[in-house]
Amino acid sequence: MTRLGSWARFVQQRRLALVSGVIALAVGGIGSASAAVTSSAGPSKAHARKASTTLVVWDAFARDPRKSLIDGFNAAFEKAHPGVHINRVTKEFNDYNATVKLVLSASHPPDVVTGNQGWSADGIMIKAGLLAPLDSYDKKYGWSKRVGNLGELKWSADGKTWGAGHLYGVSYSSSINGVFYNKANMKKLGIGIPKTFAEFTSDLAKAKAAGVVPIQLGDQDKWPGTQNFQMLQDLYTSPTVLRNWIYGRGNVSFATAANMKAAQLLKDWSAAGYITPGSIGTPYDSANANFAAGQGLFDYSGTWLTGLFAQKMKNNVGFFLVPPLTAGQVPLAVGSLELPWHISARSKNKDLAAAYIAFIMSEQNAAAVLKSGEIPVNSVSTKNVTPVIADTLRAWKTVTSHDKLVPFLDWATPDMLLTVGGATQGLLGNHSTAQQFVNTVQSHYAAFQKTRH
Amino acid sequence: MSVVSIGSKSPAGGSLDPSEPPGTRFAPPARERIEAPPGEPRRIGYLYILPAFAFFGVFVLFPMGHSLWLSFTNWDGLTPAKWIGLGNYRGLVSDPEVRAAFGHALVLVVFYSFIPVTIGLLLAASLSRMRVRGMTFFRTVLFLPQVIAMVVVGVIWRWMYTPLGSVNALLRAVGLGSLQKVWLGDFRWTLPALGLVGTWVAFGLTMVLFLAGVQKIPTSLYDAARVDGAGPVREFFAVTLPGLRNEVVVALTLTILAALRSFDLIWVTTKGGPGNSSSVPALILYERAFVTNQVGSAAAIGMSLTLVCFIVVFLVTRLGERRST
Repeated sequence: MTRLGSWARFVQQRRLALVSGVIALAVGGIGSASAAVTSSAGPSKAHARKASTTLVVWDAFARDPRKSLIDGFNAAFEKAHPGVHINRVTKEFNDYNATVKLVLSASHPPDVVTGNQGWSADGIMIKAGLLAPLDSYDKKYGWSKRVGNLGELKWSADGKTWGAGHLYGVSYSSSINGVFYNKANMKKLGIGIPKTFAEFTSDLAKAKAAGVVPIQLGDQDKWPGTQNFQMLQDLYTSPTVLRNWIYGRGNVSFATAANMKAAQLLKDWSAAGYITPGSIGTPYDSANANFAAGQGLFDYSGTWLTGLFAQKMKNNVGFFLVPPLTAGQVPLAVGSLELPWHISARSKNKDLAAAYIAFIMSEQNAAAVLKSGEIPVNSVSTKNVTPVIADTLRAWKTVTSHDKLVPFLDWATPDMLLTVGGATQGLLGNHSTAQQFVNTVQSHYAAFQKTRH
Repeated sequence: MSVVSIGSKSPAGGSLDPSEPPGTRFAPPARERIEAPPGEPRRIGYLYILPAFAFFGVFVLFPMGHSLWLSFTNWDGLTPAKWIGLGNYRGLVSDPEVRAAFGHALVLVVFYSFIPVTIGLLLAASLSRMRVRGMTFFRTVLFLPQVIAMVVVGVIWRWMYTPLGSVNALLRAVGLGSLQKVWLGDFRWTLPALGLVGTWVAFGLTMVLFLAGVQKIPTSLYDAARVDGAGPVREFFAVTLPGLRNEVVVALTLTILAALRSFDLIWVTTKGGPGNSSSVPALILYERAFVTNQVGSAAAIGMSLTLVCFIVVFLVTRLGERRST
């Protein structure tokens, strides 16, 4: 589980389990969902007894290894705080997203919840006044100093401006996108880790000529291809421009020559066979499974796949950042903090809730986080970890120390993952032009910006 | 009947109180009988339907009314809703993506409904002329897709349609390798490919309905038609089709509704992709209600879809009635 767009997570977690009741909604109406606002009973009330306090925690980490990781944190926190009992409620990601906003607005909201960066989750909860600002706790526990840039969790109090303002959440881990490579295949092709983008491109051609899939990509799920677009977009843009566009600052347009160039390049690559043939009809999981099984030279993705690849490919897999146009430059990379932890605005135990989050964030837990395959926000030793995990940590440090980390495109609007996801399929399937691609994205973007003011 | 008069003083039950004058006991029921002819429903009847109606009201009518109200508002699901009248509906009409989605639903109607009904009728017609050994077995096998949850169907077909999946393998095996495609990654073929899955699913239902219906048609009608020299085609239009009228109405209603409401198959396979080439109204409804915080607009799609469903069902039913007179 990862820092993906909300749908991406949705897809990963609940591919099969579907609410066919949605169809009932189509005919029966949305009303039942909204009626739940008043009827859904909140979690058990925090019993404030003399020596016993219950902290109600809602999180979306319903799958291992994270599920156990959080269970371990909870047990350790209870042990360190006698009299405190943690009542944990965890749900699969899509169930979670559908209910967390409702339970936060119920009469007895949980004390601590996980959210999701962006307008669709965090933004609307802040706009509705459901989350507490954490500035004072940040000062007390020094999160900003340790984690670095927390802009993606900062909002104006009215939830209308994102990227600056009050701090509303923190995360204990992060992810970064880059290129996973198959070491054996690289050796077979007689190439090394490319130093420039030109070298990278010529490696793709070599792989293609040798009958090896150059870049594995399964984009049937409609979001992974977007990140491949962003890999190319990052070459031709600056972090500031991209961040301003995503956070809706300064009226930046998407329809630029740089974005057109990136879109055209992705289209050309797909047509040239540098990307899995039939990528838009191939499920994300099967493309990654194929890469893990030794097929393909590269797989451009996020570090949420590190665990999978490390387990299946052992020492045969490595990770590098997409090389820059000019050798020696530090490239831009897409990445972000993981699902953030928030405190309910109406929690009666805010100090305890903050202590709990501070515990999860503490340096003593960093090794456990790294072991589960994630990049902890705290510094940690990479001794005795699988090489690919060490690679990802090094990449993260390089990029963040040069302030070259950029957010995901789909953060720009609540519907951007759907919009840019569908538009990217148009490029990969040779169905639309680069001009149509940027126009589609820009028109949805502009429509949303209008509703913000 | 004494059963109908529970709650009033029943002549059959009588009163056990001996002090009560006999005349008054029988008077009220007698008057009721005069007012309401035998067999006419009495007011007490409403009491009997109350439990079911209360259930219906709470779980169907109220949410529907609430949806209708929501569809006139701009609501993100949390902050107070703002009344915008027909704004959401205007937005739907002017949104090319929504219009396209309704268009796709109509294409699916052909695959989910018209094709299965046609195949079912043809099969019923041919089976009405002959006996097939192992019919129960074939019926079970053909009905099987109906029993499988649509989500499972979607997962199965998603794999069959992958570039290296069994559909392409089959095409290669029979020498039609040139027709191989990335079925669910092709802007032109994805919707028909998904439609075929619907055909595969709905066909079992129509077939079972029609086969049962055919058995109900008196064989004397077939004998008479044959004596009069009717061939298979004539026999179909003169005997089988009229005899199956009610089954056809039921099959059309069920399958058209399934097509218009389709969500799970599309969600599991393509999410409306590639691009928006296979998006359907229910998919957009879901996205707006649960992803993009546009609950009012989602409700408007729901109401529009409901309206379309009502109209279609009304037309189909009328069609059946007109033929029967």
